[in-house]
Amino acid sequence: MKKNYILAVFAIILLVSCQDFLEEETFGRIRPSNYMTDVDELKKMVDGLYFPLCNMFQQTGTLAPCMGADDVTTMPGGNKGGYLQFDIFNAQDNNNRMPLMWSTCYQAIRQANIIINDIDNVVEPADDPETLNASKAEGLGQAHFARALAYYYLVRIWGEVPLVTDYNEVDREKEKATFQAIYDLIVADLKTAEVNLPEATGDYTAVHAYARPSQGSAKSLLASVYLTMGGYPLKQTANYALAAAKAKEVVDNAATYGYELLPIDELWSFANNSTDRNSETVFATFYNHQTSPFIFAQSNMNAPLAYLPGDANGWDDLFAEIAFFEAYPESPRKDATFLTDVYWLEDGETKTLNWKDFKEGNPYYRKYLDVPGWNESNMKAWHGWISSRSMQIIRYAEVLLVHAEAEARSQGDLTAAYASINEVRERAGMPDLTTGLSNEAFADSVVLERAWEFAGNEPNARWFDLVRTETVAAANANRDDSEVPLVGTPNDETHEFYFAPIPVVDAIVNDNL
Amino acid sequence: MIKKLKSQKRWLIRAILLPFVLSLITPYLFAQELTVSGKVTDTNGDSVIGVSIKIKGIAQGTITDVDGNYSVTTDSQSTLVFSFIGMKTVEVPVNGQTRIDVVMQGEEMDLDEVVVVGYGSVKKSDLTGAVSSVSSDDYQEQPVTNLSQALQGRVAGVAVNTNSGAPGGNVKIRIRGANSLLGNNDPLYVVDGMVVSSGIGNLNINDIENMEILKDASATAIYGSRGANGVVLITTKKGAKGKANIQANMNVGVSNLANELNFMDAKTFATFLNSYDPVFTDEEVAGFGAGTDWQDEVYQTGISQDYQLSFSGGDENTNYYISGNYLDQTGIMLNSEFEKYSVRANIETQLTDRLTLNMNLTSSKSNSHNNNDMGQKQSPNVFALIASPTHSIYTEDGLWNEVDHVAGPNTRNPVMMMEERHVENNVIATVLSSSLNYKITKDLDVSVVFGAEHRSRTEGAYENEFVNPNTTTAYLREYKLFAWQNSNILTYKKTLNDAHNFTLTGVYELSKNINSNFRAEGAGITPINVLENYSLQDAENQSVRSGKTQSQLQSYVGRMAYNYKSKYFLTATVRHDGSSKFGDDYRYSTFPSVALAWRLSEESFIKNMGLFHNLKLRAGWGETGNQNVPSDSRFPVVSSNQVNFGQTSLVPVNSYSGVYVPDLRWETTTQMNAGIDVGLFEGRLGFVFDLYKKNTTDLLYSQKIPEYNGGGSYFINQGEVENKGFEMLITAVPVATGNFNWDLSFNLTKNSNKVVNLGPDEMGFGGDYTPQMLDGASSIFVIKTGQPMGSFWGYQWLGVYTSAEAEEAARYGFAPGDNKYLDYNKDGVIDSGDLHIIGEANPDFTWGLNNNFTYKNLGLDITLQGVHGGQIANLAYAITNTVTSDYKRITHSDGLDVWSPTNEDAAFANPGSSTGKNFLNSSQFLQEASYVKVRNIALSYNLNKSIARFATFKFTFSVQNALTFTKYKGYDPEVSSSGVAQNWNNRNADTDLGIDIGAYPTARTFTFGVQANF
Repeated sequence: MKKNYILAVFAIILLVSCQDFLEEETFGRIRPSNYMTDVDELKKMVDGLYFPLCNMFQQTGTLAPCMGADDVTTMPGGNKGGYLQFDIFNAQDNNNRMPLMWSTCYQAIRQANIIINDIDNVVEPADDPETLNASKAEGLGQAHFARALAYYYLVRIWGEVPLVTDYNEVDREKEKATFQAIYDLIVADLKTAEVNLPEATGDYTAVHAYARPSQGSAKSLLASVYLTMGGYPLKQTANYALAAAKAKEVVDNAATYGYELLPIDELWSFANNSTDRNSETVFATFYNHQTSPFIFAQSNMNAPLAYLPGDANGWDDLFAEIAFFEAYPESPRKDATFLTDVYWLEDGETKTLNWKDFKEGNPYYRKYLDVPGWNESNMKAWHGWISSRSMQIIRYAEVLLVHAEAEARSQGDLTAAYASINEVRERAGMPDLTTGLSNEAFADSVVLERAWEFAGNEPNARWFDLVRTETVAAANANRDDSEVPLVGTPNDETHEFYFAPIPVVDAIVNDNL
Repeated sequence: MIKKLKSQKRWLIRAILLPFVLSLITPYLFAQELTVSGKVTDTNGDSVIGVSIKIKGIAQGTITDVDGNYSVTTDSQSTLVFSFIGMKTVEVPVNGQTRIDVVMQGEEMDLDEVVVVGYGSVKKSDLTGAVSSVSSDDYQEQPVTNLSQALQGRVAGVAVNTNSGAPGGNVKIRIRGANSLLGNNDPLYVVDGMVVSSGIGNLNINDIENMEILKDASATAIYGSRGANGVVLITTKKGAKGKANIQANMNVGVSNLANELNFMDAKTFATFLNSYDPVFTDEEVAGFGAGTDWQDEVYQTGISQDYQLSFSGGDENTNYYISGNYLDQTGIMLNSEFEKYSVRANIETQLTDRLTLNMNLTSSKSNSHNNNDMGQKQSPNVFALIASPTHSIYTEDGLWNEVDHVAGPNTRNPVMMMEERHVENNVIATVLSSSLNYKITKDLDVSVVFGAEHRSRTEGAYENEFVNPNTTTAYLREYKLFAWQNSNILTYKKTLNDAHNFTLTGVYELSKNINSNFRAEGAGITPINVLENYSLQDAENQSVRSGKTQSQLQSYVGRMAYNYKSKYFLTATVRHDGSSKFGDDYRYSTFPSVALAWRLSEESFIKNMGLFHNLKLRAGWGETGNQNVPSDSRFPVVSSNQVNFGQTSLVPVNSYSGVYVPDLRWETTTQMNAGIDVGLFEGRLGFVFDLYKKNTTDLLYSQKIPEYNGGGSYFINQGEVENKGFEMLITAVPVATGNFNWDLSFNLTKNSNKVVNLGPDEMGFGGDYTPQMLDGASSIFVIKTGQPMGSFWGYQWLGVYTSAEAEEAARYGFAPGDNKYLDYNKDGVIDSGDLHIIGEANPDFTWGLNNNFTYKNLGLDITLQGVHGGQIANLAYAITNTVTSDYKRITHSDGLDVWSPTNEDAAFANPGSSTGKNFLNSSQFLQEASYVKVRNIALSYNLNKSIARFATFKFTFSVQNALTFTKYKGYDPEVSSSGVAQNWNNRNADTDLGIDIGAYPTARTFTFGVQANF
């Protein structure tokens, strides 16, 4: 009798017990072993590139390492220390603003590496090779473009950096790659992108084509890369001819790619910088602060408060250096570039303050101020600090200026070079460039033209021009006495302060950096 | 509108509850009064002097005289309780008798108590491990509303830290320090045999009868892979045979801010600010007066109410305990409230002579209103610290004065932020634990336990245009847990030759946890709909996320407890656990333990000394585990994200991160313990001392992936942490006369923690509490080989450069008046190379002292608690006293003491300097965390049944958090902002201790309570 009970108890136990009890279930979480096998999964990986890419340009801080240029400065104190360090050549490896660019570049690189490394996993739909091949080409093209763009920013800001091409790599002793190796990868990537990408954004099979690079974008970026390779630090001047040829391809086929300069008074309007590319967009990142505020990186924090003076309740993140503003040629472009007066309503009256009476005593940039709710006559009214403005990463104006400069530096077609620079100057409301300049003087004029055109730390920052033309110190020599004095002394011979220190977040774990 | 409805609902509940309580009082019971007298003797026939005779249910009574005689007036239906130190308590029903003589027998005081251990129980005298007990009697004078308050300062080796003083706020309980770098080191909670996965936040403290805290491995190893952080075994109340008992409790309290900080008034603030940064015109300064006292505006008097009604009783076969509880607390911060309802039914019935069925069912619902994440960078209470006193709450038109532009464009009106927020956190939890016990033979028992737990937490929030000026948003997030457990326990007890006592236990157990979440978010919303209905479909833009994970555990447990004549004890356990979280080769692990004890007081040579009432030596060793990583942790994941491409709709995208770690496995803690129990003077003086050492190896470690490899982290087993220390408990009854009694208990704990090994990294960081506010490091907390967890990483502050030091300052690019930092690596610059360990948060030792005095019907209960040593990074002090990156104004009065050529010996640097640096991660802001708190003072009065004939009453007046003695310059050295870190996998980790970024301070509460027994 007793035994029966005991047996019964064990029978219950054994019934409950089963071999498979500890099997794991993943509930829809994707295991790496079964990911990216069809075009839909590939598409989600490719679209995943745009998360870090958007983040890369989402706030003023990402371009803090470019503050050493003569077009921008910032205020001392407040939370601007991270910007100021670069502005006055006193950058530390623990600068709190620069890790964002560093990290988002490498996040984009890892995402691109996933697609590039594992593109062969994508085999479905096997019965529709046309769709399969088109999706793979588009995906591969975007991945190579994104990786090139990210390395291009890394190599121009930090110089020699780790070169990672395998998404599975975790290497705490990684060494820096040489400039040559990095630029070689960038060029190779863009050449691959150039053949895989759709010719123009309109040819994409994927949706949101305006946000994606086309062959025109890859060629434009490649032209810029070649131009940079001709200058410091590689100084491989043979690249100027390649730059000229590549830029010429874009200029000659501008209509195919859909590139045309906008009128200067429409260039920075919200209408042209919101949910679609404009005719000047070669590559842009897009934001919408209304979608989900819980996805912060998907809204644009460059506009409008960051660029607004404290006198209009702005953040004073960055504003114009006085010497630069004063040298800037009077033109409609100057009016479209600078904010010189603040207007606001007080007790029913419109009040105004000129930049000379601003607390910081500098003019400000107005390129990113136009957002819905922006009120020219009451600039204090706006309190939101994120917006849905897009960020123009490469504009057609840059392609024209790369073309002009590269033709001149490669002893190429100066007539075509004049045509390109004058197209930009005409749009700016400026007279044509003096004719009969020597190639060298012409090239210098283009660099100056670029300063005016891209003033205010656009993603195509003046800083990069100063570095490649070895004029960082020269440009800073004109700094107005009323600005925060420089702490470090940049040197165009020794190239001191040309590159930012490797962020401490990685430097601390890897002694080889 | 919604608020009004809610408060109506609350009043409705009060309106129902109060008459209910009153209605119970109305049945007026008649009883006859008579005088009982008699004599009390011991087993030798000698009279016993000073025996306490009490009428059951009320404190009133008398004592025996020199001849052992007594006389007491009581009613005919009452029961007399005879008690005396060192003797067994005797209860005699009066039943109309007028003469009752009693013979009292000697007692091994407290030692015959039965103590619940895992999967069984033992006599307290037979314990071999380090186990502490807390009974509901220990805190009954105090209006405790949760388990942590009951444990605080009461148990040696148990640290209770209130992270947030918010009603229903986050509490951290640690037993013998923290073993694991990851996740939490919370103990395992087992309620009536059922492991409660969702913690004990929803448990009604009033339903608890007893808690056993298992501390050393010989006691916890029976819980194997989940026992490493100690185990709290909770037994809820049961009914007793006899007449039904109805008990009603009511506590009503008021709370306020215990300690106020000193802030500048508007005129002082403006004058001071203008002295280094001219912001105001002279006319403006002249016009300022006191301005806005933000501290005063955001803190309020909180009201708390706690009602409990319970019914218990039973007959020969069945007993029951049924209770209901309602708790409502308004916070000391504006617009915050916590409300909880709970019910419980515990029923036990003897089905046959051999078969017993037990079922405990409890369900609760809590609603926390606006108690979320205070004490982080953007919390309204942080805004209250840094808002300018010159800013007004309202504009002249009576509208919110939204942005405090003087403090900075991101500083939003704190009163507005508090009043306009709507964050609701609801938890509904139901726990069932049932068991069927069958007595197979006299010696063999089988018990089948089945438990299930369902917990659903819903967070809803609406951010209107005041809270979120960019866009109106709302979200609804639901997190569900369903867990079940089946334990099958065989117990065999046998005594051989009247000397060899065996208890053998075998367990087979299965458990499963299923977690799921569903999150819906929306932006661009019409407020009214969201508030009333949470109707996110009205949002212009919507997004949805969801997920599910599960984990299983399969276990085999065996235990042998043996003793020889109750002198020599041996307990050995082994648990074999299998977890679904690990790969096939690492799925199972075995956790053994062994403990020995020698009860010297049973030896004749000790007995003959006549000194020791109890004397026992204990020693134990064991291994326990921790598997506290999420399911699937060994795999890299393809994670989901969303991109909007500038449109109002979101596109789902994927990313890939992590590393495959096939050998991810258990973290193992090996613990050794040695202890001694001493009882002297018939048990009136007790002493327990335990010495322990715990080594946790194969630490589950979140390894960072370098940013250049794409960033993120993955789990590996790496490193070792050591905790060692001692704990001491002294219990004494210094005075015990019939009328006046004094009980005291004192406990002392010392634990030291050290990271022994951290693998090749040698260093890691804790959580980030101050995004982008620290210089040179991602966290102020460092994890470093050879150093304790909770070490501070920063710059050594050496004061402020004086004019005499101008030359030295200039070498670093500084000027007199700038902060002087140690050039730790002596490279001539102050930069991240100078970061080093500048302090430690762990206390040196902690203690608790509980005193209970009774005089006739009066009782006085005083609990003191002390923490000595350790530091807090007071960043709230830093941002209110210096100019920092995000908080650019000085508001605290201490901040006035800034350097100037005429004030060389200043506390703070020149805020107007353009050359100086001001690091938040600096020793300047590490402050002493030591404190002594008068936790509780309670005065109680028992009202005799002979006065109120139908019931006994107890009235209590108490003060919680009455006094705090500390040098700490913040609100409260006890609270901490740890737990609100930005990186998720370090939330609540013990690497992060003692940081204050405006943590919610604990309140001082005055409570009046009534307890009635019918």
